[in-house]
Formats: sequence, C-alpha cells, structure tokens
Amino acid sequence: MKEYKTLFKLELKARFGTRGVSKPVATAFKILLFTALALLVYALYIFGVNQLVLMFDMYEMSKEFLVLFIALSMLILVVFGISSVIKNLFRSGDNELLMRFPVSAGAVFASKIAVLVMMQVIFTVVVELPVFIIYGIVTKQNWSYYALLPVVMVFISALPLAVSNLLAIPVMQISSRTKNMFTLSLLVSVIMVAAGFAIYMHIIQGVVDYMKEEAMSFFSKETMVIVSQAAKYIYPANFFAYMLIGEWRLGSSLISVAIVLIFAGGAVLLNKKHYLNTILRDIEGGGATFTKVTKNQVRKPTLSVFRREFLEIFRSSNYSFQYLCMAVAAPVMVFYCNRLAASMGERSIGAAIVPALALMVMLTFCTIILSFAASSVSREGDNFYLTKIVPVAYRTQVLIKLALYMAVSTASILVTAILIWATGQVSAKFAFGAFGIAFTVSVAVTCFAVRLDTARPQFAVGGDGELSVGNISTFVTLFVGFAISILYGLFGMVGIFLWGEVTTFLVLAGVSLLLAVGAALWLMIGLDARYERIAQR
Amino acid sequence: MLTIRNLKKKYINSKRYSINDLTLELKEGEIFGFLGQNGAGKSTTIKCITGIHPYDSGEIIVCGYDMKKDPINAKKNIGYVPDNHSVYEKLTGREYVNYIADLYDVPLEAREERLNKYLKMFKISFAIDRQIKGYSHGMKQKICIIAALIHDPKLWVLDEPMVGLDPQSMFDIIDEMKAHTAEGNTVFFSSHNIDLVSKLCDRVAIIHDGELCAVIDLHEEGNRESLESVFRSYTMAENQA
Repeated sequence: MKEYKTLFKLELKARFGTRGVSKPVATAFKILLFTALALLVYALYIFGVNQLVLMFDMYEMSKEFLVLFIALSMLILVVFGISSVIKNLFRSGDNELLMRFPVSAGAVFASKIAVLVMMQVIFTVVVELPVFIIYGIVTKQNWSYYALLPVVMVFISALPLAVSNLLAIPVMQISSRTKNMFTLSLLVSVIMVAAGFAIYMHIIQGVVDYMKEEAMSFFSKETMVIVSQAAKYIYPANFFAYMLIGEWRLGSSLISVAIVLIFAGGAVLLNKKHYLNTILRDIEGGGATFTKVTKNQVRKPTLSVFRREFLEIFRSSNYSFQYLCMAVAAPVMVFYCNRLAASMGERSIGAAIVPALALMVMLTFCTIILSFAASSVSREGDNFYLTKIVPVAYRTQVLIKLALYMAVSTASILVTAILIWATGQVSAKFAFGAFGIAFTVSVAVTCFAVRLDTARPQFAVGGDGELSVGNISTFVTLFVGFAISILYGLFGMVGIFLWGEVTTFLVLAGVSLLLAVGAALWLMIGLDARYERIAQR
Repeated sequence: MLTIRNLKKKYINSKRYSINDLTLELKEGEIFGFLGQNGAGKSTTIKCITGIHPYDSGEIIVCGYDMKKDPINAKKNIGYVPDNHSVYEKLTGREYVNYIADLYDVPLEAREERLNKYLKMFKISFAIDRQIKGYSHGMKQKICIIAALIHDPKLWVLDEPMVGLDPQSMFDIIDEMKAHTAEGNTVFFSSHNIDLVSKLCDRVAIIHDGELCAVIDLHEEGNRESLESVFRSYTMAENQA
C-alpha cells in the first residue's frame, strides 16, 4: 500500500507539476483570464445542451436522446481512454525507470490507473452531470431518476475504462505495425477529422435551424423512425438509460451490473496476466523503425533543408496531425463553418455579411494551421546545434522553413477558395479576393510566429525528440491570429454595408499588406543576432 | 589551422566567465587533446569554436576565417562530433549523411567514396538505410562521425568521442584520427581519459575553471609519462583550496 501511495503521488506530480509561483500578479491574471474563458465556454455548453434536450423533447424523442447521449459519451471515453491507457499505462516515459526499482508491476499499474479513474470521474462530473440534470428537469423525472443517477454515472465511467483496457493491447499492436505508414496515417487522420467535423457541424446546423425556425427541420419522419429504432439496439447504453428513466428497471439494472462486472473483471484479469509482459515488450521494441533504401543524391542546400524539415513533420504522427492533417482538412472545415455562419448571419442581419463571415472563417483556420510555425526553432530540440554548425546562414535556414509553411498554407487557402466558390457559397470575384487577403495575412502570421520562436524557443522535447510541452509562442500566435480574423470579420460586415464589397476588400488587402511587411521586417531585422543568442538560453 | 586568441565567454545569468582569456594555436597535422574536469570549460570552448555559442570577446580563426566575421567559410572547414550524438532521428542514416553532405556542397562522387569507406570502417553498412531512431548509442555516435567527416574537414572537432563506444569502435576512431591528421588535417578533441590522450595526442591543453593551465608537447621526453601527475597538480590545487 505504501509503494502504491508513493507511486500515485509521483504520477500526480509528473502530470500536474510542483512548480512554485514566480510572478504572482501575472499568474493571478492568467488564472483569472482562464477561469473567465472556461466559465464562458461552460455556459455556452450548458445552453447548447439545454437547447438540444428541448429539441429532442419537442419531437417526443427524449428517451432516444438519453440513449444516444450515453452511447456517445461512452464512445468518446473509450476512444480517449484507449489513447490514455496506451500513453499512461503502457508507453509512459517512466516505465523503464520504474521497472528498475523494487516495486511490483501491480503497484505501478494501480497508481497509473488511479489517475485515469480520477480524470474519468472529473469528465463525468463536469461534462455528463449537467446533461443528466437538464434532462431530468426538462422531462420531469421523479426521485428515482436522481437516486439512480450516481450509480449509472459510475457504470458509464467504469465500463469505457474497462473496454479501453481490453482494447489497448490490440490497438498497440496495430499501431506499431502501421506507425511507419505515414501517408496512410495522414489520410486516415484527414478523413476522420473532416468527417467528424462535418457530422459535428451538421448537428450544430440542426440545432441552429431549430432555434431559428422552431419548426420540424432537423428530423424528417424517416429520420425519427430510424433514430427510434436504432436507439433500441444501442447496447448497453439503452440499458443504462432504461435503468434511469424506469423502463424495465429491474431487468435493465441487472443486465447493466452484469455487463460492467464482466468487462471490469476481464480488464483486471487481462492486465494481471499481460501488463508487465506488454510494457517490457514495448520497452524492448521501442526502437522498431522502418528501412528505406535510397541512393546517394546531391541536392541544393536550400532544397535539402526544405526536404528535411518536411520529412521531420511528415514522419511524426504528432506533427503530421497538428499541421499537415489540419491543412488538408481545413477546406472541408471552412466549408461547413462558412455554411453555418452564413445561415446564422444571413437570417439575423442580411446576405451582405456572408463574404465577411467567409473571410473570417478562412483566416481562423489559416491561423490554426500557421500556429505550427511558432515552434519552428523549438522543434529542433536537441538537434538545434546542427543549425548552428552547418555552413548555411541562419537567415537562409529560417527563410526556408518559412517557405515550407507558406507553401502548405497557400495550397490550403487556394483549395478552400476554390471549394467555397465551386459550391456556390461565394462569387468568383470574392473567392479571388479572399485568397489574396488570406495569403497576405498568412505571410504576416507566419513571420510573426517564427519571430516569436526565434526570440524565445523552448527546447522541451520528450524521448521521441518531439516537443513535449505547449509552446507559449503557439498560444500567442493563435491569440493574435484569431484577433485579426475577428477584426477582419467585423470590419468586413460593417464595411460591406457602408461602402460595398470591393472597397471593403481593397481596404482589407491594404491593411494585410502593411501587416505582412511589418511582420516580415520584425522577423528579419536583427534575425542573425537573435539566432546567435539562442544557444545561451 | 585553428587560432584562439584571448577568448572570453560568460553565460547569461552567470557571474563568472566560463572561459577566461583562453589562447591556443593548433597546427596542421596534429592531434590535440583537451583535458579538464567536469565543468572546466572544455565543451564551452568547443561550442564556441564550432559556432554553437557566441562569445564575449577574443578571436577564433579557422583556416584563416574569423568565426565572427566569416562564419560560413569558417564552418565549412570544421567537422563536429557532439557529446550527445544528437541527430535527426526520423531520417535514415543515408538520408542524414546526404543532408549534411548537401549543406557542405560535397559532390556525389566524393560523398559516395567517403560514405562507403566509413561504412566499411565502422561496420554499419547493414543499418545505413534504417531510420536512425532505431540505432544503438554506438551506432548514433558512428553516424555522427561519418556525417562530420563527409566533407573531409580540415579541422575535426570531437567532444568526448569515446563515451559509450565498444573497444573496437574506439580503435576505429583512433585509427581514423591518425589517418585524418596524416593527410595534413587537424584533430581537436576533449576527453576525461588521460591514458588515451597521453597515448594518442601530439599536444595537450589542460583547462581548469575556464582558464588554460598548460599546453604540453607530448613528444618531449617524459611528458607522456608525467601527464597524469601534471593534470592532478592543477586540479588538486583547487580541490585542496
């Protein structure tokens, strides 16, 4: 028990740290800002959930809502659970270290799983509890609903964790076999992100339509029949829901208990038998890599740096997802966001705001992609010295990286502009103008992001050589980029109303050009001296 | 080959100089050892020579090129092997060596000839097309050495090159150091291993607390044998104080 407690404390320290407060005023401000933002997001969530429950209730599908909600939340917990279990239980950086100490595998497992349970409980209380309470109020449930709520919440937390544990080992085996199939991984990520986003936006669109028209626009009769029928067969979410709302309560309760016990027992048995072997095998096979037979080839230094930078991103599932996947999926995401924003804005204000909204959405996604540039130096990690010793000017190296980021973002913006024009969301004239403005702003954002990172890089890389902590420059870039997007959107809406589309876009293009020139100068002036100083930190 | 004059280097937030008024002259065709305790300033000196760290004052001249005024040409003449064997691990060994060769403008014929020679010498032909991530500690060290030599540098700088290497690999590196200097090039390496330095080097410098204590010519009679006691005399004085 003592060793378990020590390991649990160690695990908590590793996750949440023990750093003291160095600048109390700045820290207090950050906490205040973060709390305000969190409360705002939470209020929006509660509002959204309330609207969703009302909508389902209006269609007399409240029972189906409960089943779907439980199923969806368990699915999310399983997906994230598998990733957490693999990351924290099987591939935790300290596994190799802990194996050297005289502690049992059981204690290591228990201390790590306890933290996962804790996280699961927090998710359940913060995200799920409000939904159940709103549901209870809207559908006027009696005392038994609230009495059984804690039991069901324990079930829907424990079951996904057990399932995640059972699936983690096979998923690990599949992932180690496919981890070097970079194109396939990127393709799958793009499809999943784009499809997930499309579904999400479709649901939001439905809620918006419901809120605006209060008409039966979200569910057709056929959809209602399909949803009702499907809800009956979504096991075991339907048993948990029935247990709560008192439909076939005894039977569903017994089945629910049995399911949770079987899966939890299975997970315990499996881990008891395979946990130690799996982590030892993983430690042993951690260096499993690919072989690629190539010929020696001469390239120009600039092209070689460009290629190396791309390969470093492409061959990292983490970076590839953060950057390339987002860049490829951005056109789809912009399309759906634009459609939603336009349908909301058009109804409340007028069609004139559509181009400004489209530009704002484009710039927002452009910022998300380009925020990656804010780690251009930090990502070098332990290899940073190589950028200092090679006979290629610092300026050239930075410009090559800039060129890569610009090439990817330009392609993404171009495809986006073509997509929103081809689907009739905007005119060809607007698509061309938006491309020009977005391109110029992306030059500004990229220069700004790289400038921040050259001034204050953070070489906190993990064992795999990849950045292990969030980079402050990335957050600043995101903040500034989002601010520009919002300001452009607001100015565009007012400007189009007052002076028309062409004048407004010309003004925005002029401002963008100034921003780009300003950011480029800010980056280039004193770049060599700044880069020279980096090693001293 | 390498001239260091009155080099001074102080890290940000540090009150003392990590290198204080260091002056050294390395000749063509010699193996020069750099001895010192942990924290004496060996790695800092090497990082200044290779352009990794800026320095506060003094001069570093590599093959006639000033590291501050003409860093590109100075760096073209240096091959550097770091003490931590950091390389781009997502690349294969061949991709990495070719990347470095591209940056130093090494023609195809020369890089193929040198790569084949070193692959044979270090016996890692079997792994050259594998991703570096899967290399052992020693293999990473070897690929670093190959990359450092691919442009046939006039000045080969190594920071603690023997750490973690098997005996055969150590012999191979020693042989290559000798072969490299036999062609008129210079080798400059730091080490804790007095025995190795005394057997291998032509001259050796002892650095202590950022200051150069002595430059010893090991070809002079009795110097090889007395190197350990000389080294201890400088470091012991501090420890006793």
